[in-house]
Amino acid sequence: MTENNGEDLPELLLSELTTVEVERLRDKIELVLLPFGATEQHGPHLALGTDTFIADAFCREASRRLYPRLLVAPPLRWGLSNLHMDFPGTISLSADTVMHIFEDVVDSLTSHGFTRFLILNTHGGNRDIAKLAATEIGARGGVDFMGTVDLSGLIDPEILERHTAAGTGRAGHACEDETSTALYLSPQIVRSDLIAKGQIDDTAWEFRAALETHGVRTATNMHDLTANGALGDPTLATAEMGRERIESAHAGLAELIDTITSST
Amino acid sequence: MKTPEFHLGGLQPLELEKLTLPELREVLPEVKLAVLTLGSIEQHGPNTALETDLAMAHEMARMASARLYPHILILPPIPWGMSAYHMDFPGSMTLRPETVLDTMRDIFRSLQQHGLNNWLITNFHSGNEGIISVAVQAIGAELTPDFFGAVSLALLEPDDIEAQVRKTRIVGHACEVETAELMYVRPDLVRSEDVAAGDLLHEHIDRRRRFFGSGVRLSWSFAEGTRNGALGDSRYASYEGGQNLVEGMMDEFMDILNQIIEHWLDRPEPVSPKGKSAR
Repeated sequence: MTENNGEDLPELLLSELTTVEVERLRDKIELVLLPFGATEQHGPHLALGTDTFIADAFCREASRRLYPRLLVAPPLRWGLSNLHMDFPGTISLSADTVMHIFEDVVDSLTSHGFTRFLILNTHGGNRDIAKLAATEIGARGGVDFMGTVDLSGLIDPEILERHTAAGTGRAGHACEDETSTALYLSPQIVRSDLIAKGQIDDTAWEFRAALETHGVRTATNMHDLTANGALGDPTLATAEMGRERIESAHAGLAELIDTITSST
Repeated sequence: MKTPEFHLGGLQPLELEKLTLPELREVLPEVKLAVLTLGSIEQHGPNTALETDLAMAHEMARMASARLYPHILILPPIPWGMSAYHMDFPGSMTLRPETVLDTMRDIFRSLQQHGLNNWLITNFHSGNEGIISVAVQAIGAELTPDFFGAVSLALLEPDDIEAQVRKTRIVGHACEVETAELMYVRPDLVRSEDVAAGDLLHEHIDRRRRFFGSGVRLSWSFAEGTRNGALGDSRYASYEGGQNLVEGMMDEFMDILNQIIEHWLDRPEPVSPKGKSAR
């Protein structure tokens, strides 16, 4: 399959189609993308909806480039954000609720004949529940493919390593990497004049890092980890880094879709 | 948003997702009410998009937020609602009732942790009415917010304006009335080239309508009443008609919001029904 970067192709968002258009396109659609974002604090310089806006913008563009193979479902605009609750505005769903939403979404769409689903996740805190949703819903049967992928998992590892080496090594949230992506995909959600280094508590960071070397996962309250809500150093962010990440992710997704559709 | 937002009249709503942490902190003391839209993703005939109800409720909430800036905080909407009876048409999605309740409970519980205790649900889909009544009652009793209400925006259409826009007998879904309203707030969701008369199955509709207003409820599929998913005749829909209707509904909605703010939020202690003021 060739990737088409033509400006003439439309985005394929389920919610913006009519039922007649869904019917007409149904047999050409190979997979449904389920964007999974979050509503949570993103430091002093990024909007609370950053994860949702990134997931939405990336999936829209992917559906345009691969038209009409990918259908984009309405994004989940909240996820698991309990660790950010000490910052105002954060909305967090329980794990059960997220599972039930994904079940209902997949059940609705399989009833119309769609059989392949891929969660496109942009929030680290969602990773575990997205994996659980993918395996549990996949195991129920009735679908040909049910999977999840993080946006960062679609990026060429060489680029990730290079950006990590150029950064602070303490990235992960509202950091140089995420701010670069936002500058490229959704510049309107970046307050460039307020970008500031993450106010990271060294003791809390090192404790978390020490646990992670043993594979230990624990609930580290983000407010204990960073006073301003940001990690890393987003002053190092550039739109060019964001472009490199997102273009690589589009190539990665196209390859992944080919792999999935040729095997299922 | 691809289309120019004429319906906002050059004003900006206050939307949680678009604010940064410092912006939210600054405005939070001014916020009186958090508004959550329960939408629907369901077939709306050949003429309007699946997210019509979501768009109508969310855009009217945004209009209200812009007009009362910065007192109304718009939350990320729940796009899906209760649409089981539309599932015979491709693209329709539905949540289970317990999923709707769980999602709302988690969202409102999150707000409560930030000291936001006044909540309003907005809705434009009649199929959501039952679950919203349950939510207001059950979640209200569970979380005991200071204020918790819901508004059915579609019921705010002024009768005189509706009578001008309406040209057919059976309306209420993807018809000339709803299509006109959508033309005003989200013209990109209207397919002007695909407007059509509802392809009605009159025998079934008439049988159902015998019970209208009688308190009887019947389970059914929308496909039993219309072959193309539409009611009325959207060929009669016009932007001007939609503008008149939506602005008429907004007048009612603003009146409701002002009453909520004046009589509940700015005067939190209840007045007893017998006229004895609690203070």
